[in-house]
Amino acid sequence: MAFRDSTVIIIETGRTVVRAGLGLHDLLKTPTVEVSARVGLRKNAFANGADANKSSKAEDPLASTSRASSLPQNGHRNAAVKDYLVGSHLDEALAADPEIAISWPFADGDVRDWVQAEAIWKHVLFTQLQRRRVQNESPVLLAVSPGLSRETHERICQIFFERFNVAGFSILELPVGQIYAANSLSGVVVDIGHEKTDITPIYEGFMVRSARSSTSIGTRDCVNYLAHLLRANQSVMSAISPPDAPLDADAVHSTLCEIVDQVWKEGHVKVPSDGETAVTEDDGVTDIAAVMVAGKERALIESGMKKRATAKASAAEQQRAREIEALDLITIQFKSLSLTLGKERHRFCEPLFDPTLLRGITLNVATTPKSAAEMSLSLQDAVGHSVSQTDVDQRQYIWGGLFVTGDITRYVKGIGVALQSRVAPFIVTPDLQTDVQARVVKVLNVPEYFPEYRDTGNGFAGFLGASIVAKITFNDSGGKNFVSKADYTGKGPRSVIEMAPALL
Amino acid sequence: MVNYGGDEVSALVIDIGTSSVRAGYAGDDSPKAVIPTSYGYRKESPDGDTSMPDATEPAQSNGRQYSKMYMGQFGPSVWRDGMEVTNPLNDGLIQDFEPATALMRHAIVDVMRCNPSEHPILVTEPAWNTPANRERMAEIMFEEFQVPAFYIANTGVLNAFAAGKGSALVIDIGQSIASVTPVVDGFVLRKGLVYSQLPKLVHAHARHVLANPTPQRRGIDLYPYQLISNKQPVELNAPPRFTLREDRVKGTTDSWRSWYEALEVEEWIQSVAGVLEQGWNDQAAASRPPRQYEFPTGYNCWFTQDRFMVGEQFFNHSPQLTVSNPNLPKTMPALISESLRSCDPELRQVLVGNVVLTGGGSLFAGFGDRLNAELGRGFPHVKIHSPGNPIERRYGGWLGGSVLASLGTFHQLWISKEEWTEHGKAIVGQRCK
Repeated sequence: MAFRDSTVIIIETGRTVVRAGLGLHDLLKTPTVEVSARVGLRKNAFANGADANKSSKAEDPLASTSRASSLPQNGHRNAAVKDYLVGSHLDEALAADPEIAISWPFADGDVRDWVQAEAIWKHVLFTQLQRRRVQNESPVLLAVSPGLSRETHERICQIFFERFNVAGFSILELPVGQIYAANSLSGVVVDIGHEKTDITPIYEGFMVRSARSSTSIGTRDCVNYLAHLLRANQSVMSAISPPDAPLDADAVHSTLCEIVDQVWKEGHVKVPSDGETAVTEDDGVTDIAAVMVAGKERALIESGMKKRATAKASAAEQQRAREIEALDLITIQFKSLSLTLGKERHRFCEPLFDPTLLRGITLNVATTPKSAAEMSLSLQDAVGHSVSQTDVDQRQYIWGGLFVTGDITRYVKGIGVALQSRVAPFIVTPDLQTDVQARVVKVLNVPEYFPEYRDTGNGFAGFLGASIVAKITFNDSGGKNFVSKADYTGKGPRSVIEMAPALL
Repeated sequence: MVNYGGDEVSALVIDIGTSSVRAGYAGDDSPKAVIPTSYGYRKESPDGDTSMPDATEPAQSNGRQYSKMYMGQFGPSVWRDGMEVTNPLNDGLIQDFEPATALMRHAIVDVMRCNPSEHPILVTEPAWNTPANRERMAEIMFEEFQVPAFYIANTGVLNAFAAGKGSALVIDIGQSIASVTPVVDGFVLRKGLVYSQLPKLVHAHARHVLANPTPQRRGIDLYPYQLISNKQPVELNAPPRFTLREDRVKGTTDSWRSWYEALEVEEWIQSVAGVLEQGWNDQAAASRPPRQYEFPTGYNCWFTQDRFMVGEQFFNHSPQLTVSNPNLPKTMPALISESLRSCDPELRQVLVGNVVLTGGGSLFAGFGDRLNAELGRGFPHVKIHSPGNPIERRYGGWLGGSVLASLGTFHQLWISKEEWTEHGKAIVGQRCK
């Protein structure tokens, strides 16, 4: 049995974001649906809401392990799928009533609460993608965090068949999809998330499970760090918190974080390689190759256009423009304010490579600074360590595919190259005569021949990989790589273990 | 990947070796969790901990002499101030059950994310395990993990099963023990079981080769990556230029250092060392291409004949060594002939025709061919089964357990919780032969 390409649904369930799309096209499309992987529960939905929250939290076995995320998890044992608010409904409700209890059911890299998980998937399938439960002709390919137990996979399969009535179902583990999207079978996937970074070495299409790791450092730390740095910027501070109407400390921090979010999402941040403290802009000679490698082509073209435009302006203006360029200033529109930022914005990614920078930064009253005990490994140490857990003869192939993905790579280019320059201690000299030890590190990127993905960096790699797998899986007339309705009726949830080749 | 067949009980298989603890679902063809058996611990309560990739690393409190245990892939291998490293096994047998229990719990609960009380568990044991040890294991399984059913099986037999054989001569080269186990119709022939600490000797020799200077090169520093902050590329044989992480050197314990140096030696062996297929011969050794290797310090050099001397220790001890040490562990040929001598003559030909080579140590380059050559001198029809896939070779015992526990006919052998409550420890010896 094969399915029509237009009915296939791909869902990528990450730790903090869920992406989905309907239909496979000749040119694989970017996801049409992107929602935060969070649900909200109104406090007044249950009379004893507050008490129940506490007790159910204590019951959660995962909350006590070190895998647990610090994102909130508030469940209610009597809450049903329909009680939870998801996506735009939640955003609207939050705007009206901040007293809503938020939960992130996937933040641990596992499923913390099945009802909440179902609420999110249901929202994606039936509200966003407009499927109908009674007549659901769509097969679903679900990409999930790696290393879930068999029970979890079976239960997911059960939900999709019994609650959503899907026509076919298969599961893919995210890192495998991500490395496929980079057109490789071996490599190490570094997925920089909101608060965690997952590192997965993959060899010949199979994850080296025992070498997987994650480190508690993510985009959130970068945002906090840059927000902290911006406090030293007088012009910004006086703009958001004027002396005559000062904001309190919490509000200052959250405003700064919003500014930082806007800055990096607009692509104003560059990443210096090891040894450079800040990017130096060379005006005269333009080394195209180097620029391409660093992924800065767009920034360069823009600055070229800016130069052309300024050529017409008066000499005085030119002088001023040159000054701005030398200082590497940008001006952003934040709400009603016009803010000017300098080179400090390029320090955004520094915490990834040196988490000790975060030590002692007091963010706001609610979060205490990270103590030394909860300091994480830097990205380069964590990646090097993960790869050194693999077999000696696999390492050169794994180092041959360093692939950095995650939301941050959509807007901030060059993290891969920056990481490459920092893992040098794990690599032997390139002219060593060896066929075992790793001599080079190659950085992978999503190839150019996916035109829809050209402007998104590596950020959508997981979704792209899942689309590729879906195309192969659901076009296979043998139907051996997914669970069909008949299989499910015959064998039950267990069938997903036998039919999803990636899980074995 | 192959699923060996439907098994409705979804049993787990745990195989504890000196180097690693393997755990996974019965019926799979590779274990889901592989964690080092060595673990780190710190005696006093920690205050200045800097490096913790937290997800895969549970730090568990423990009421005994140490306050914290560090297990898993990010346990002993991550540098921590004042962390000691130790191993609960000695000669392949569990000596210290408390950390062994913690390791199994980590593998099942944290890595596989399974609840042990929902799965029957099959555990492996070496052929020389003691009755007290296996009863203790059963007790841990039933009382601590609350498993619904339990079985303990012999690694020799399981390795034969993994190779699809009922009768075989299983040659298992582990990290600390090399053993030869005759298996006949699924049972170990006890009188033919022999083992020695040969792998430890080979390892010590390799370390000796590296650490001591030769006329061509200096003695090599085996600093691990984690103590090195940066290195410069250097010319061949030139003294290495590297900077130590002085902040770390002070808090490094001797046990961590020696554990990590053993790891460096092991990697060097896997990358460079080998054994000559047709017995030692100076000319043959000299005619082999040399190999270059770079150490974490950046020092690099060529290894020529000495890389084959390492593997030779499995088969021959030099006369000087034999004279100075009367208690050398027996070599492979000696172990095999001793084992075969204690078997009935008509069995010997069957066993030699069904040799199963297994264990991570047997991945030594050229080992299988050399063994074939050695055995071929005494027997006309030698056949060695040695899987090319390193996973099958390393985890043969686990794989055999996976095959056994997923067989429908095996179900009657499980010791159920009811039987345990009724009969107590005696049932283990009766049921698990």
